[in-house]
Amino acid sequence: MLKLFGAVLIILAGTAIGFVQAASYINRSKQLRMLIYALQRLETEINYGQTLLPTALRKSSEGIEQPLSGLFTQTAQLLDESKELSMQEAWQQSIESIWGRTALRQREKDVLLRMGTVLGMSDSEDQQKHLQLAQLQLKSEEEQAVQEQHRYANMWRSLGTLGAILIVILMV
Amino acid sequence: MLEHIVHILPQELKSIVYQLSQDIKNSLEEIRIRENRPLEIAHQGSYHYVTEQGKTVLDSRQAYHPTQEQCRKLLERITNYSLYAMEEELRRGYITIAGGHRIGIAGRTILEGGFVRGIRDIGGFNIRIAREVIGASKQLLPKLFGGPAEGLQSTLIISPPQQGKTTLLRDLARALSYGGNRKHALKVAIVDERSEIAACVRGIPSFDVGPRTDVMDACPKAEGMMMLLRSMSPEVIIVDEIGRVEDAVAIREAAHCGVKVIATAHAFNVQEALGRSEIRTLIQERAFSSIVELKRNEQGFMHRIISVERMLDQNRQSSGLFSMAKKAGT
Repeated sequence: MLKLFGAVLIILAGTAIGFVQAASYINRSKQLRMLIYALQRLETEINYGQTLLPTALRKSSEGIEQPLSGLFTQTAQLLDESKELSMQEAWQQSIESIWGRTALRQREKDVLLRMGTVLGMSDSEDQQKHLQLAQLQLKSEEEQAVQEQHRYANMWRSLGTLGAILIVILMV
Repeated sequence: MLEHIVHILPQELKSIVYQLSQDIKNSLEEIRIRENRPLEIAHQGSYHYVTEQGKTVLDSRQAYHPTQEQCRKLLERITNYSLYAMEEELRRGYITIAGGHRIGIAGRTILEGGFVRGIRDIGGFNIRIAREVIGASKQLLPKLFGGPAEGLQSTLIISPPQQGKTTLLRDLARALSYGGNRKHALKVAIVDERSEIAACVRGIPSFDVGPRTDVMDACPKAEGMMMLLRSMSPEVIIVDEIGRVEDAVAIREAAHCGVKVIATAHAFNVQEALGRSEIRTLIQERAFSSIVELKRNEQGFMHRIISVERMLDQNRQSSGLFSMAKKAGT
């Protein structure tokens, strides 16, 4: 009886691990899509709306989910509140604080950090170019992420369950 | 008064300004910040360099040198982290911040088709502290009204630069708009081409220009006057530094609509103002009923009011040309 209970537990745990791994692939491509969407919004606000950056950041955060929206709202808040940070520092700080909670990787982080060095501080034509460049880079990451998702998400799901069953068989 | 300015300064410069003596703080006129060059302030018509401890010195080598980092932060704060939204301001070469202070900027210009499109690599800032002198027009105001039956008269204010024309104009707008003292409040419209009179920040005046005042900000004077005539039905239009042909056309138009105009012009005295053809024509046409010559000294504003009617009369008697014109007229 106890053995059976233990076996079920192991299988459940293995399945859960598999699903969590699979979810990280799915989340990554989803978050990349949201990020691209937010940057598009930011580009529109900056280029056509000529909205001031803190407001533009807040507007871009609408319609995307946590934790990514936090990147924009937090930067805007830092800019409004503390007058000691430069835009670049505020952006950097916000990235660091949310990064652990995202499924994104170092490459995306580099793209965002690079964008942060120029955000706001040139004419709108230049801003547009930088934002489009960042979107382009993120887009290629996203395509890759979708491919990986197809390839690995299902694999991890079955691998978790199957691995757990293997352990159970070995233990019996 | 300085809080809006201190607010935008980076930490190091902020503490330097705080350490300035109270006397200097009260009379501060300009703070000049140049990247990697001595920090300078102007007050009461003289200038000094400032050390890191907030002491004023005349030797530039002892002065504090603002760094590139600080200049970048300053620029970010002036523009609210949005340089792209300031293209128009950059083209004009200055940005108005809350409190009505104007920050002149210098750097490398970007040209497009031979015209300046903007400034990049900004390395010099001139923070000009604006001061509101409420009551500056107190003595002048009653004299701008004609007899008891007549209302406000169209007036041209003449003075050399730096004598307080804009300050006076701003206070006139405020006083006319508030009314009080047996005068009823007037609908005032200001055309503020250089954002100096009302110092609007995003369309809202930084200075108190009165409750019944509409401001057309950063608008060419002639066009602005016409727009206000059509849209805001003003009783008096206030405008700074007239002198071009279009301005004269707009002022004539206003006079035809029965709208009074209070305008200023750069000149040392009436004779010099008459030397400018557009202004002379306007005066001869009696678009203005009186002219005010303005001087500033320690006690405040000094002014001399000249009635256009009387002045033209005298001119007629003394000059043959005018007497012929009179004959032709009668």
